[in-house]
Amino acid sequence: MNFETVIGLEIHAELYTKSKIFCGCSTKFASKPNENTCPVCIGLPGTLPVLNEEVVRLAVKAGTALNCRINNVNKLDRKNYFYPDLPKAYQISQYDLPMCSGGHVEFECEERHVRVRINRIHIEEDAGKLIHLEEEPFSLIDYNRTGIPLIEIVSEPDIRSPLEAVTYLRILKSILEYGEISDCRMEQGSLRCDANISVRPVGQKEYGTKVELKNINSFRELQKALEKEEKRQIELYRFGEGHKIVQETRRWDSGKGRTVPMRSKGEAHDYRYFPEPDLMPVIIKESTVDEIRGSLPEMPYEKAARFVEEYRLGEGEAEILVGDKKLSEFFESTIREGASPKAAANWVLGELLRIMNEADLSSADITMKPAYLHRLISLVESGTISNTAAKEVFKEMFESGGTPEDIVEKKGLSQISSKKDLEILVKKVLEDNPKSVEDYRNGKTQAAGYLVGQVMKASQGKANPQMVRDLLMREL
Amino acid sequence: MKISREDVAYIAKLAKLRFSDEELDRLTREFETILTHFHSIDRMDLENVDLDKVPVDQQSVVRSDEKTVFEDKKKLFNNAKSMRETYIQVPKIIE
Repeated sequence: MNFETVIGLEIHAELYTKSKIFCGCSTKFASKPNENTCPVCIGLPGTLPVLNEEVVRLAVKAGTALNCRINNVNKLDRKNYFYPDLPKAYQISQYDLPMCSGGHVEFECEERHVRVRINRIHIEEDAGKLIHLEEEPFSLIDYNRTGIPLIEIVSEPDIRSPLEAVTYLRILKSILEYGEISDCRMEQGSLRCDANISVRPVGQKEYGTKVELKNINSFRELQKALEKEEKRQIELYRFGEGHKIVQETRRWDSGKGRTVPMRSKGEAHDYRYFPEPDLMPVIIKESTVDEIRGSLPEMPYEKAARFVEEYRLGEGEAEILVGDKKLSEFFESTIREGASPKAAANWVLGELLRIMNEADLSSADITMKPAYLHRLISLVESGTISNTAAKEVFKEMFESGGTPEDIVEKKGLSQISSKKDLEILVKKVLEDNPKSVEDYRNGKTQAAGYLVGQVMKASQGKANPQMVRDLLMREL
Repeated sequence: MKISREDVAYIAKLAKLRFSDEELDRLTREFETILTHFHSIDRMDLENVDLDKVPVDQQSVVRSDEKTVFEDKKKLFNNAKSMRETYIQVPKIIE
């Protein structure tokens, strides 16, 4: 029997604001523990929340970018639960009247046109961070994250494979980055993802029992966790043990490479949602929505189309560049400095990505100036350095941030293109290899290759090979 | 009867509160009174009320996105039973 996988994602993104959602505390990452706290966000009695208007703006922006309907009247609700990461013992969130409803994202994945419907986007406050000590019976609490504004984007179960889930997350991430809605640093937890996954026999209408996966921090982990869970569920069905799949929350343990149960439905939370009495409904005027929609910057799919049109890139190349906002900006800046689109694309998609992957760096870590890449390209085009040498210079430029000219000078990489210098070398090689010269003159054309090699060797690899060949031919 | 004693006991459990039998009886009666009051509000005819036309003074008050710093951190964490450096220390609870 063949099975079909059904996946839906819940994505939390921290919004790009200077201050928290209900108080003026800073949202800066990696501050000293509990540095960014005040009576409001640590939930002292008698304090009142005041909504940050930028949170409304950014959530509406996300809604318009994802083709949602903006609910002009929406409200905040309390979600009650007891855990030390939540000092008020309730999270201010949105329950039955979210800010945005009914959007969608479309993309191609393995020759399937995928349309993922978005059920809703709502705003809420983030919880604090707990550190569980290994050797001691204590947990340490840092409330800096408490009250950082979040949007939760809930998809419908329209995703059919782990790869589609990753693609959907990538697209969503790039849209949020392009819209400057969230900085989406997954490694810092500002973009987090929970996945609901079930499998069912192909052709069956009803969904199978779904399992929720939590604690997924990267694209790679998302794919791995989903593949593992998909396999686990299919195997249980195949062995007639489908009843062992229960609706539960499982935590992805990346170290062990498997999912482990957290809590089952039997002990599911009853959050007792009710309207937040400290906050009035949020009213968003249609004119505000229009204004925000009009101010949306170029979205990734628009930029990809423009790159294909304007720079004659392949669709695949454009997609890779655009999928990473900073990378696409670096690429365009290099062109603006004067480099040809083709050369710029070759370097960015080739050497730059290779070095970044090897060192496990992100585009945010690029310190090299686009102008330097343009100058490096010019050095190759003018024949001052060879392609091979250019790669060495590029690596050094990436690591040290130095100028290409200095690096060429320091490493002695410039090609000998001076005709006079080369003529001396060529003459010497011809004198030293009378046999090869004779062979060539007797019709053994491959002898020329040997002679070019000898000149290159004599120049310690610095001779411009094309010029050497031309000079040799003339002499011969 | 809008609420049973079992409902009250369940809500108490969710709120992590423990009550004696007498307290539960009293709370059940009090919940009942409160819910009866809300029930009469529920019966009001709101057919012609347009939420889009909420009076200006009843709309959400918003603040601009500006940072403020609460300086007196010592006072802020006065009630914490135990601190370790600037962290609050609590018994380990892993969910």
